[in-house]
Amino acid sequence: MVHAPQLRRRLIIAIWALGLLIGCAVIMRTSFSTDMSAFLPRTPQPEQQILVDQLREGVVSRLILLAIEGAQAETLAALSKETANALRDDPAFGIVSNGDEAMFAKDRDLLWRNRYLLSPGVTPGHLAPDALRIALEEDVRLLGSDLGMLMKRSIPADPTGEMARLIGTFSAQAHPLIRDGVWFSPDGVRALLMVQTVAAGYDIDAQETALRRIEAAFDAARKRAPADLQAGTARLIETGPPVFAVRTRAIMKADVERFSLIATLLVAAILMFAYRSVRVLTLALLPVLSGIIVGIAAVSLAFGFVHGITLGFGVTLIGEAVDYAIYLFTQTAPGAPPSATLPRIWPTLRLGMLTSVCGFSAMLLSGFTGFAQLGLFTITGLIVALAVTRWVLPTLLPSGFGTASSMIFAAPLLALIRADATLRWVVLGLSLIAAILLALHRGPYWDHELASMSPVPVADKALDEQLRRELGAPDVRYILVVRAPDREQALAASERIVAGLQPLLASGAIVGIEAPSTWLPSLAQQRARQAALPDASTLSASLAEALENTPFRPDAFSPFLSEVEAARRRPLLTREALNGTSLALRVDSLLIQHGYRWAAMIPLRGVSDVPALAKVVSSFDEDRPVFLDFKAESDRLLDSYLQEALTLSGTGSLVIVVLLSVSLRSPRRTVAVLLPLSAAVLCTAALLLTVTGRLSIFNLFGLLLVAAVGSNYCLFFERHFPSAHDLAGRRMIASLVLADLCTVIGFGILSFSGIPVLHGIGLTVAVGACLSLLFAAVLSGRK
Amino acid sequence: MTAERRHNRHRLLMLLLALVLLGAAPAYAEAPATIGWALPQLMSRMREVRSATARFTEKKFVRILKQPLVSSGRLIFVAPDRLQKETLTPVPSRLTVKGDRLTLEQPNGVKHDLTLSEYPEIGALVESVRATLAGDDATLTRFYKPTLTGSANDWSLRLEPRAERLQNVLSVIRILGNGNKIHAIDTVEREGDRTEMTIAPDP
Repeated sequence: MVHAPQLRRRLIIAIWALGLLIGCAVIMRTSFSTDMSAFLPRTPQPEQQILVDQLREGVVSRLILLAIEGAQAETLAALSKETANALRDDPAFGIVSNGDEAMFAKDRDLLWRNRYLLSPGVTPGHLAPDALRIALEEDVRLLGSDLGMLMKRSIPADPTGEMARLIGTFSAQAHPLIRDGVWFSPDGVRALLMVQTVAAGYDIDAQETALRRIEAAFDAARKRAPADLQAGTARLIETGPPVFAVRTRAIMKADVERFSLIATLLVAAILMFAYRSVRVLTLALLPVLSGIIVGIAAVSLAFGFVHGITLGFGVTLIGEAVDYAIYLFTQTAPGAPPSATLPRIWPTLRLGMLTSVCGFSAMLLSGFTGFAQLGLFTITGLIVALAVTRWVLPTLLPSGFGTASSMIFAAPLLALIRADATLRWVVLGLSLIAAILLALHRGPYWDHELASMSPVPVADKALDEQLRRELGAPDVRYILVVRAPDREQALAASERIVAGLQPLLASGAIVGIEAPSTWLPSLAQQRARQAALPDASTLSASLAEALENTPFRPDAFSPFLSEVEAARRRPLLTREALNGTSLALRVDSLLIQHGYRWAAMIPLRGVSDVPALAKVVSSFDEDRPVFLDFKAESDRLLDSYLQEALTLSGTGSLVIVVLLSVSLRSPRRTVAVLLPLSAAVLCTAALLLTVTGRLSIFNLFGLLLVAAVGSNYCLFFERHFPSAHDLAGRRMIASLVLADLCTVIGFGILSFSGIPVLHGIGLTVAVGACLSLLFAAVLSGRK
Repeated sequence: MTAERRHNRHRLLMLLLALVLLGAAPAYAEAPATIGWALPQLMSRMREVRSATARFTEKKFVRILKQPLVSSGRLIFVAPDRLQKETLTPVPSRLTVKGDRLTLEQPNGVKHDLTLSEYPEIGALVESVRATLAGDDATLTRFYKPTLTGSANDWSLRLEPRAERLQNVLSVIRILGNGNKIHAIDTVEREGDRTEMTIAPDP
């Protein structure tokens, strides 16, 4: 026969355990991501969508730069070739370039065979007698010149130099120094390679596998190298967005694990000191753990994945959710059942939790997946932690539980509360100074650099920039994008744009154009070129006419005649025909299908006259391209990110004010709660701004957390103003100090992390929570 | 249009050199046979010359052409590593090699730069003349198997390329001279085309 309370108790524990079990099961199947694009908007402008797509899966996101150094040049070249050959056989890699001829062979062959379909020089009249004569005269001059020895191979089949045009375009990028057949840095110290993965940049697991395979290929090459090459000292350096992404995830994982462990241990040590009981300590951590598990599971269910930063944020929950248990335990007098404490503190706890939830609920509405995840995680975590504290913990507490020793925590704060009223003016004065500092701050408040959000060390970024310079592969800043309903129309639009940009190329306003139509002309364009090729009899008559008075033998150009004739009947070049060459990936990265629409990307190199470019772009009547300035767009993206965060925080704060006004039903009481809270937030913001010069978006979230945690302190002070002689009051003070200590330690530890998000939030909350409690103690006293 | 084509063509030249010829690994020297008048003696005689200027006439015999292409100009050598070929007729141009750097200047102002270590086969062609003039037998034997015949006053130096990739293009280079002067360089290519350069002292 089971009694009703016991039944209820068992039921609660069963529900709780079941919830945790389901949570764990969900987490086991969750995929974790560190793709920063989760913090990019979900419903952006077209320009931003392109930027986001490029960051997620564009060519840039898949480019790995490699350098081999630490041995003599000959050895480095041999290792470069061996490694590149191994990677070329690996289906995980699309393009492997190291300057080796092997990479050119297939491309050159394809260009040669299709030169009359691809060359922009093929226009009507191009092979007419006059034009041919000019070409032949040039050929004679070339043959006679110092490097002419090598022209003889191609002149008989290509007297008009179509291949030269194509190869000129093909390798227009500044290429690095070639030594021993492969790319080298200008100082000859490093052999350089460029590798493009097939997997998109956001697929960090695939990128990590790719990096491991590169390392394995390099190690194998080093082991196989003959002893006299002394390859043992050679090192491989990897850089580029995939490397950063993988490294970021590793750093994030390591930091989250390490700092959450340290924070947990420190908090546990303090709780152990306060409660002197392993059982109570374990119980105190139960709400936090439950909150984290259910929070992660909820995010996983709602979004399909959990972001690393959300997880990092989970650490911060320790700081707030552990407070609930502390309030319950510390305010329970020895010998008294917790059920006696709960009715007293429950309304305050509930209101505190609701305040926090309101603060974070605005984030749920965010257009940024990352923010929405943070919001959902925190809200779920807090609700679960409080529910566990309210219903589960009392049933698990040992009977006769008491926390006498924790009372020593109350002493310092009690001193503050008893202090002279002038202290209140000091706090108000400080807040006023903080407000003035914030108001008078010169320059921007907020850090607008996307780069400052990345945990990649500055030295790694510098190395990346150096290798890019040496490889002649600078970051593309300007891109024209044109959309069309199908591939052919996209290619045709690309052709019109390239034609329109020619004057800018001639004037030097831009140095180079990369367009999908260069390597895959539209079928219409290819047909037009075929139509421009004269038939066999016309061509041979024109050639005979042009050959008069030249030193060429009459039969010198029979390969030319037969190849032009073949080109007239050649099947047109299709995307499939490019397979097996690096042109396939080139075209795929520039010609992208979005649902039912196609986009042609036209990256521009060496843009020196932006206004002239913008003018030409706006002069296109039909299919006007979008002119995308990556840097400006990135900045705008961060701006909208910041704007939204500010709006959300503002809305969150407003909701908190409304909630408190409604719950407390008194403007005076509302002010009593809000005054210390605002003072703490103001002083924290001013302090951070003064010390670091800029506030980051993470500081902003930190301030939101300060409001959430601090409101609890202020509510306790306001609702249960402690008299120094009242034992319950002293217990309450002790619980607040203990809770604050745990928060400050938990977040303070995070401020040592090198990851901007953890550091920013950690520092802000540690300072803010500390100030919140102090200010609440000083200002709330009814002296 | 023509300038652009010319520009493209020359880019192609550089590229073809890179594409067609790349990848040869230089073999290392083995001592050439020495009978009396031998390479070391020739080389030490050549080292006596610190600088020299000469006129050249070059005839290129190309299969697809009915008659040879003739050009002429001046050759300037300054020890140890500066070699300049100034073509004056029919189309002026200037080819300068200094150290590892090769520069080709055309009358239209177009200028091409490349480093010889980047294009080892151009380097090999340059060294056939430059290393001989400089008396640098180590460099010469790195790229070629040299055979010296004749006497000090009438010698013939036969250079056969070592690297396989160079062999695909170049059969042999023959340099004729007396004492420390060169008076002819014949370059025979794989497919039968050849270049004859005759060199006379600057008047």
